[in-house]
Amino acid sequence: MTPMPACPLAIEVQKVSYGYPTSGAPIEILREIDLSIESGSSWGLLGVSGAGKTTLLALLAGLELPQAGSIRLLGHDLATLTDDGRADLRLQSVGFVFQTFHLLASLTALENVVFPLRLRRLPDAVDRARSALTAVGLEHRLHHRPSALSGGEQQRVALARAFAGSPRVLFADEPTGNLDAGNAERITELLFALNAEQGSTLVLATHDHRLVERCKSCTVLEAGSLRAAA
Amino acid sequence: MRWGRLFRPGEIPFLVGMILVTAALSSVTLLEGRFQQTLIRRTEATFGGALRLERSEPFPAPFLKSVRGPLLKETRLVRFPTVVVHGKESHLVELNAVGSNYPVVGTVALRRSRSGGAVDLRRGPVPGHVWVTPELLDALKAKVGSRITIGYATFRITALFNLAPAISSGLSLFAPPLILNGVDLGRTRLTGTESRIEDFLLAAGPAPLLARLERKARTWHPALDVRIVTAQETRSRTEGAIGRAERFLNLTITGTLLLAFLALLLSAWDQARLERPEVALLRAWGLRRGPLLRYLTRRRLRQVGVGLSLGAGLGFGLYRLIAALTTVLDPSGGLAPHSPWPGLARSVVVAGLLALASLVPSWLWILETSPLENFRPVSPTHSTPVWRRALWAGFALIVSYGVWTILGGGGSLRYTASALAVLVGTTLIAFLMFSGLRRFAFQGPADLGWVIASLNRRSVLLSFTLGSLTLVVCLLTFLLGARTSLFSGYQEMFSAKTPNWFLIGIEPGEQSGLATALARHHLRPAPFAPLYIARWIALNGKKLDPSRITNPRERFWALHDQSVSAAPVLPVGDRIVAGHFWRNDSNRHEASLVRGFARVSGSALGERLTYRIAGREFTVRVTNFRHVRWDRMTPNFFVEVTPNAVVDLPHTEITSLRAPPAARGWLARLPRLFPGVSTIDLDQIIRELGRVLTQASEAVSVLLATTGVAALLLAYLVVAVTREERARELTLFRTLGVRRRRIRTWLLLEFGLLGLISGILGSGAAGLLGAYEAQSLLHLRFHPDWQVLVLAPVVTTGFTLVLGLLAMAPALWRARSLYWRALRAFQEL
Ligand SMILES: Nc1ncnc2c1ncn2[C@@H]1O[C@H](COP(=O)(O)OP(=O)(O)O)[C@@H](O)[C@H]1O
Ligand SMILES: [Mg+2]
Repeated sequence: MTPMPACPLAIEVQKVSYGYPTSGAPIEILREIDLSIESGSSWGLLGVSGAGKTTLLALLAGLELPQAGSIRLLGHDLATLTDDGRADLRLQSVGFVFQTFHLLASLTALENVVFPLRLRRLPDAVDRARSALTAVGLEHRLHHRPSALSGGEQQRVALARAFAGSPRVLFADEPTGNLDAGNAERITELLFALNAEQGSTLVLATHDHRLVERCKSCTVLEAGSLRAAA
Repeated sequence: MRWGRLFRPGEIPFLVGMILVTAALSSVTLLEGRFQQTLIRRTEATFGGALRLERSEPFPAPFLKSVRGPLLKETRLVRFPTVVVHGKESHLVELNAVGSNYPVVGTVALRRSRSGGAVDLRRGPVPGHVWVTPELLDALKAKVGSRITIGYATFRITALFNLAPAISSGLSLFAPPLILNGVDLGRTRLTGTESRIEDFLLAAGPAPLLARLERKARTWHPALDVRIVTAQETRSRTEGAIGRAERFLNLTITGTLLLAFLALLLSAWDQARLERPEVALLRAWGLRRGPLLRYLTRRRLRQVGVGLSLGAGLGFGLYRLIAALTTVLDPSGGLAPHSPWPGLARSVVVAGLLALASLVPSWLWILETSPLENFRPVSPTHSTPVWRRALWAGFALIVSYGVWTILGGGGSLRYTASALAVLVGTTLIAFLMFSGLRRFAFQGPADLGWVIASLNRRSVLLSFTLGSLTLVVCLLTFLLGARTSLFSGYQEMFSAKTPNWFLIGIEPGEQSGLATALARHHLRPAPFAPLYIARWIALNGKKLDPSRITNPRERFWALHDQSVSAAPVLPVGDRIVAGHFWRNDSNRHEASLVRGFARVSGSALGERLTYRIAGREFTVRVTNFRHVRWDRMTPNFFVEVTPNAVVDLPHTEITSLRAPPAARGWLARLPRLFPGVSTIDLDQIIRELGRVLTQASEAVSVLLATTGVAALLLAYLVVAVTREERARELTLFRTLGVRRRRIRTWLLLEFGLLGLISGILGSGAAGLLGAYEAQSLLHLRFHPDWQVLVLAPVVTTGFTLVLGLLAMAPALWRARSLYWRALRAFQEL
């Protein structure tokens, strides 16, 4: 991995358009989007279901390439990187939190957190994982499988997994979407606290106003375009 | 109903499972029926009477005269090995000289030519004629009508037979039987007092008369040394042999059944998981349970029907294949026609039961489906608990086994239980190994850690698969590699100098002439050794009473003649392991025993053994034990005595020699020049032995292959049932930033590891088994067939790799978007 160039902008998007390929004319989901997110800030993306929030996040994370426009993630132009290059960038510097947790069912909570760190060959993987799980209040559930954990606990493990690797950018897609109010509250607190503590850039997509209100900046995705939130 | 609709892709494993269960059951049933038939026929043939008296010396004439009576049918049969000569060919045979009443039970099926039809005769050949087996005819390059030489007389071959009452023996592979009329025996001049013969008196008739005969034989004076054998006894002995074969059949059948049944259950389950949402939707739309059940049942019954028919067909084909591979085990070839239908029907019924049983749990599960389910998706892991499924599987197996037994299926509970124990044992070992590995999975490199964790996700199922794969690989490798290498170990004894011909039955008068003749042909025989046919009659001065001896080995030697030799000095190559060998000029009467022989016959140093040879007795004291290198192939004997103990007793000489192939023809004709001499071509015997071993191994391998396929099917299903879970993980890995190639490596590693571990364990175990058999049981140097031992893990790895990828294929296929594009993990799956 080449050393990261220090840059004030974590994400820089210029005139990005995207449509899912279909048999007929492509369905335009995003139209000529411009966007920049400062390093260390938190950015909220608000939109109704089906607006294209997930699609935009996937593009920002380099999971997919746009049909037009350019995206720079941590100073790298994603289009010029190879597929492996984008994968490496994600592994080293990006964290994810999903609506449906996506823990590995065959691994324990601790292993779920350790595994991505081990993939990066970090020497202190287990210690980091332990302290990350302690930070989300799960030090007593280290050796339990996800099936033995509640939804809120699973999402806390997912948070630990995302933050244990000290990501420079963290993508969270509806992180509270599958949780009840109480758990949602707790996850939100943790998410912002950890983000502040680690100084990472948070990109948060949700349809929930209350969540977005805690972000430093906030944008609404509507009809394929971004507009400033009220 | 069209094929494509009857079996959806997801249901193919279920079909394969059914075919396997049916095929395995029916092929084994048919094979077992065939074994039974062969052995029953053989028992009758071997026995040839209701009562049989056996002696190692001719029956005294007064005794024979005294047993004759109007109602008792009896005949004599004298048997001994000798060599027959035809033109340039000669062959060792087992000569059977039959009396005028032969056979007292049964018939001889005779043919005038190889292809001709058989006629059943109730008599033996007339004087001057002999009957031979087709194998002997071929070996001698003779035809029906050819003249052959036996000892000092010539005979005409007038007919062929396969089996005849009382004529068949364990030796028949190397020394095929030959029948001649008893009155011709004198003309051959082959039966002096020094020869080794077996004399049989076969009798049949009313029970009281048989009992009287038995009594007479026991109380005859002087003692007759007679063995009294009843048909019942022989039958139980052959049944013991069937039992051993059956134990093995049981292992394969139980293994296959268990594996295939598990595969059935799994695939039915997998199928139900796909069907359940559809059923839920149909229920939500208002379809009632009744019609739904009827539809599902009809479909299942059709599927089972197709599976059973295909399986029965395959089973029959397998049976024919095995039967064709095992002609050597059944020299008679033309077995009594035995109908395959009862066996097939029984197998189909039981296989059908198992198939239906495997469907029930998933069926119930589907029917439990509430119309609400589509609104409240339940995760598949929250379905019926494992213990309930296991309980059901056990119940279904027990019921099926019961039906199998009621319908007259073979196998005993004990063998089935031991087969089960072996399977459970290997499963347990595999389970412990894997859970041990799992504990340390993430201590090392992440890639290996993940592979181990991923393999472990259905740990019991995986262990069972791994255990059974290991077992199959072990047995197959053993049969194909280790076993045949025993044979090459055997052949290896014949280094350039090891003798490959034995000359036996050399009369003392022929010895010098023979030595000269051999020298003229540049053949250098080993030192001639005298051979005395002796009967052990007393131990430490106390007469032996065979009926009182409890140790079976001791009893055997008290009832049978022994070969005893005399030597002034220790035979070359022998080593003394206890006591001291006698000096060249010793004038005491001493004996030297081979240590292994002393162990089984329970002899100790210092004991006095009394032997009888041709009515004369001598006593020797055991002064030492020897270790013998049998692989030197020079004449050597369990019992050697000092020459002065056996002065002037009747004997023959025996020697062995190394003959180049060019000398074969001359050696084969040797009995013409020296009619008393029998030649034994060891190369020929070893070749024959190799043929038997290979055929038996091949037949068993075919059977094992069904077990192997079942184990592989299970390996496939272990991956297939976790396909969706795995697919989700692959997308997640891509999202988290794992390179494609790395993921591909994990998949290959995981599937390959399954085969590699079982391959290495299995092949290693086979090697150990082979080494043990060679070194500890047969005392041969072990030459593993490295090619097979190495190939076994490679092939197994290949199989599991391909099957694993095949099982994942629908997920990998479905989607570039699923596997290769990370995007999906982000969206809600
Ligand atoms: N793989 C796909 N193929 C075609 N259309 C898709 C695909 N994935 C999402 N869409 C469509 O793109 C639009 C945006 O989806 P998404 O980004 O998931 O919205 P959001 O996350 O805001 O709910 C939706 O209308 C959806 O139907
Ligand atoms: Mg979304």
